[in-house]
Amino acid sequence: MTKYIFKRLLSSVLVLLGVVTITFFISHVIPSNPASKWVGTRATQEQLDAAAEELGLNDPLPVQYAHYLGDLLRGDLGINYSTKQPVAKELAKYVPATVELVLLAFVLAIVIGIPLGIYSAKKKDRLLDHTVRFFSIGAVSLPTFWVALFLQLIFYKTLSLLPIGGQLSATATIFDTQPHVTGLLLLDCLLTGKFDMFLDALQHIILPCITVSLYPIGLVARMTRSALLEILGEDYITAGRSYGVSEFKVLWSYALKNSLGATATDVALSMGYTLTNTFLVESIFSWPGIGSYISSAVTTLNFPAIMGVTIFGACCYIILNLIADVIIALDPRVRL
Amino acid sequence: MAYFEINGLVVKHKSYEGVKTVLDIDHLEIQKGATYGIVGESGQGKTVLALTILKLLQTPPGIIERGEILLDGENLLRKSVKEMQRSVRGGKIAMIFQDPMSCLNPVFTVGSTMIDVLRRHNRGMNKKTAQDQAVHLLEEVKLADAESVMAKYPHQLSGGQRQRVIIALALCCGAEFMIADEPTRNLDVTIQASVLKLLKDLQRRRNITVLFIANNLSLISAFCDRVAILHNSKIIEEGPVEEVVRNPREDYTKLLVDSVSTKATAQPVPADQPVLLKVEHLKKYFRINDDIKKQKNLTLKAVDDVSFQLHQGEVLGIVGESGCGKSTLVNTILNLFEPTDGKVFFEGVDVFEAGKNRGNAFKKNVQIVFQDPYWSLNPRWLIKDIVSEPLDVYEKLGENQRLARVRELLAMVGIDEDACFKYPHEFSGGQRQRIAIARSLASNPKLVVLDEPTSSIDVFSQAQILELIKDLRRRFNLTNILISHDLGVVHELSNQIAVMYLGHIVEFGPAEEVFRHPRHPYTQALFDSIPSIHAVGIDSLKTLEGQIPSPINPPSGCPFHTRCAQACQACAQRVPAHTQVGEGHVVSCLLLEDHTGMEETT
Amino acid sequence: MEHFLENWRPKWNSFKESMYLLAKNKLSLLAFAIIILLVAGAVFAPVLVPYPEDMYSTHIENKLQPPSSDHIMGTDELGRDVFSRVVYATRVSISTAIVAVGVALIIGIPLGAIAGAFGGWIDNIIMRITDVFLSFPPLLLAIALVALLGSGLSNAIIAIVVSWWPWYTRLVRGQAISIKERKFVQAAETIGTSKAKIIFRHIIPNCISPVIVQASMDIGGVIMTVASLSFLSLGAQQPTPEWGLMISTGRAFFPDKWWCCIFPGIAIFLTVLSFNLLGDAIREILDPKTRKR
Repeated sequence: MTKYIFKRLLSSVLVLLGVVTITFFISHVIPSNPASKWVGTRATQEQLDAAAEELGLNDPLPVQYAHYLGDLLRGDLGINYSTKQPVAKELAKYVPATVELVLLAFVLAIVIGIPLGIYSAKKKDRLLDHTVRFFSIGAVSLPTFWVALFLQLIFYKTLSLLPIGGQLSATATIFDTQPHVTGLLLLDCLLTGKFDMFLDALQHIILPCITVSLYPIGLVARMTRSALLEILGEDYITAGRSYGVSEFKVLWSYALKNSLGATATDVALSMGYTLTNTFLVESIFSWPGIGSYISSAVTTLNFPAIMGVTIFGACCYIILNLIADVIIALDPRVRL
Repeated sequence: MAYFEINGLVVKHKSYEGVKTVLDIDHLEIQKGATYGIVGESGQGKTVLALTILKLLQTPPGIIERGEILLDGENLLRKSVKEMQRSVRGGKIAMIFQDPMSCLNPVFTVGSTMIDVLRRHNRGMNKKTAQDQAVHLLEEVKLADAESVMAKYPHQLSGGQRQRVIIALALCCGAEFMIADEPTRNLDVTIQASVLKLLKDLQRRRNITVLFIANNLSLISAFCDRVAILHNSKIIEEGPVEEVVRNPREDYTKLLVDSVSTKATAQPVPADQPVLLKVEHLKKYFRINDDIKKQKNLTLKAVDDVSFQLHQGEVLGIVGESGCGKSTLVNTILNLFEPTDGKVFFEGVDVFEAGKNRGNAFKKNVQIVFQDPYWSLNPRWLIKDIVSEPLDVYEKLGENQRLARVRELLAMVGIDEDACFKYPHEFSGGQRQRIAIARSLASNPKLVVLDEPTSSIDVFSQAQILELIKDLRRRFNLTNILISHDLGVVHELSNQIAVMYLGHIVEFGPAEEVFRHPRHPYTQALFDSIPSIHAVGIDSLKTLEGQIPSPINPPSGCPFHTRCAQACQACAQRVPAHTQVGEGHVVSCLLLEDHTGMEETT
Repeated sequence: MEHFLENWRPKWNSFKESMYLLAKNKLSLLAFAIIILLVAGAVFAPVLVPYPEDMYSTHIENKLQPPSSDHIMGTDELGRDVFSRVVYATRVSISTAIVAVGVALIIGIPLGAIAGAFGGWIDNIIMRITDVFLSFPPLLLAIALVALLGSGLSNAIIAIVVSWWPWYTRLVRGQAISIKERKFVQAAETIGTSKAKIIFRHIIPNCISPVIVQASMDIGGVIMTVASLSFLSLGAQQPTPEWGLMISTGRAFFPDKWWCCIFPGIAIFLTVLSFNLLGDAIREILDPKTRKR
């Protein structure tokens, strides 16, 4: 098994290399004049030349590539054109808030999505099944940014129940400082015993969380249902029943264990989508995560920032797929 | 009142085509301790019966319209699923399934599945006791090294081992009534014999009532006391096995009996025909990695030094069990694989040399008809495109000429000419097989290979296909290589026969001669382990102990010596040469090397 | 050509059978109905909408009016009728999606079939490249590409095609590998049919079913992606009517003038939903367990 993990890690690294090569190609070859982005549109020719020299744009392409790789290995994702700050440092500041949302969505997808899928499969073609199917297909068809706006409309404007955005209300940090243990605000509040702040943060996270979780819950429910339906039609389930094994055991032991591999892949896939959805939604909720960062970078066409986020996103995706592959390998039939 | 009774049972099946009656049984009864067989075609009927009895039938497509199934007086159809699960399933009736690979949960070890079932039927049994009991049962079904089998996953076991595990699982339930649904369907003939003997043994010792379902009358005649013939959802004939087999009343029964009886031999071939195909010391080894044992670069010796000659107009039948290499041999001869060593000459021309220069002449002259009529025709092509595919490769014909030729070919195999513009799924298995035969004749080949031509089609069509093949041979002076596990088919069509074991030809000779006087120990064991309708009862079956060795690690010397009752020291040391024991009859056995021409003592 | 009718009639009959099965499922009928409505709306937009000129002209004096009998979805920040623009946006969305998915299919299917059919080093190279592209979360790659190529619908299509084709390649490759083992492919090899013909006439036609299911659902997915890109101001540009763009510009006045954002979003939802339902229904029809084939 360890050999398998090692092999997969190796191939993930190779894939990462490919990803990085593509981002290099995109960011260094396509743009017509990166130098002008660096110094601004009203620069003189001398300033442009100086910038080109500084950015290493006059070196031959392979040299640029080598520099690029070297920088990446050292964790240097380039310098943000507008703020002149290292992209990596800026990213680190914004990552925890995004992770908090995505992690919650992940937990909800498993805790709500999988049981929904299971019961839907068990009670096939009955009311519960139809409801779950409709809900899950509806959930994956809703545009996430629209859901964010819609929820704000209902819960903030019409019902005045929940805040419109931000992680904490403006008043929360007046008398107390924001805790920084793990970077995940809710957890930090619990860990440091700041219960008032915890409640406040909880109020603020509800709407973004619902928005971002809808898609993965729907996807996981649907995929679990179809995987389970297929398994329940297999001969070994019929055989198990013929030996007098209880329905409960047939479903939760015999069937479920067989669906782990497919479910893991589906959850990993849904997390990839969730990550990008989160980016879209954060600016709507003024959530201080990578999404806000990238929204502003996109409008100003800030390449290093965009590339930095892209590489980060691809890394997350590769890691998620790696984890899913390892879970699939737990199936004894898989030849390691 | 009988121990088990079925009265007026009607089961239907609903599909988008409509509602079809699958079972319509007026009356059936089984006495306690008896072995009762049900024979019918491959289709839904028999398995549906087994599933209905245990209330396992999927009732959206299936409909149980009426009837009663009585076990010890209780009507099973009246019970709810929960009641069935609690008391009947496993506890009173246990089932032995047909396909052990798909019936064992792939993510659980054999041990954990067995312990589960044991503890289900023995409340309060602790894990240790269950473990011991499971090992005990595995030994009872004659599984070697039971302890290590407990820790294995289903995919790590061989077909025969898996089937024994299924039997052991049925025993775990402790039921007195067992339903065996074609338990030996996917097993090799020699393993089938030992599994049947095991089942009979268990049945006698534990006094279990058995309902045995099969599609082969000779299996039933070996195993059961009484038999019922199921045809078109009804039981058309019923009675003691000997009676039914010796004096079949219904036409269908007669057809069934006929299909498993040994028949007249094939038409003789005139002498002095030229040699069409010559195979010399052909070897085909595969380089593989055994991921389970984590060894790399192992050699799988699929075909190991095979030589023979085939004259024009002859039919060579190749028999052997799984892993003997008959399919690989044929695929290599057809140049679908690169040979590791050896030569093949077709009409005097070296096939592999010519193949390098894109010699299409060989492919034009050698065609193949596959076993599976469902997947050997592209489901998305029209029949006319399927049949004319060889034409398109070798000739440039206009649309009309092509169509005319296709119609001609279809007429030869007895298919209506308006089939041209239809899809394969609109035809039955037997008809598709004919279309495949028509396709194989399109390029006017000299040699046609038939790979299990009748295995996957129903009994009616089998007889017709065999007649068709004989007819076409006569008309076109075809030469055939026939692969089949059905000795009856081989006997009916072949002039020559080759018996293969682990990549070697162990016996070769005129069909009639080899059938009457098999000389090689393996050939003898093979013929003896096939149930014959002429010898009713199980004791006539001879079992062959041990498993077929893996071709990755073949035994040294004679490949059969590990299972041969007559093996001696020398057998493990060198591969026997081909010894002539009769006119054109050659055997590869050390014991016969010293006794050429003499009668062999058994 | 003389037997044209006879050649095509069986294919037409197959198609009719599929349509019949599609119609039996109530949910797919609903999806179909919605799609037909959408397409009709797209094609006949100039004739159907009350204010066709609002694609270009502005009526500042009328801006940000709530929904009324005159303007059933209200007006936007330039006084244009929201309802007309929403209907017109259907054209943009559906045509973009069809083009993007079409091109992705043309690239992805042959690559996947070749990878699966040949195996070996060809398979390895194609799959490595595919894996690299598949490692980008789809939207991110599209964002990155558009950010660099420049905003605009055509660049958005290019970006989407680049991120989408690997999914089809992987799907087709998996299918091709199992179809390769089918006996009719081996029969074709013994007959002597050329490798190219085997790939394009034997393997690909048998891989199509799951691809059709995926493609129909992907039309919805692409519409969503284009809307997301436009929401980020990377896709359609003013004054083109596009749902995502409308939501994006409407954000400035949200939540007070809610109609500018909400209605276009509902349109996205209904469109994507109906394509998803359609894909689901097609999958049920093509499932071999429910058919005779």
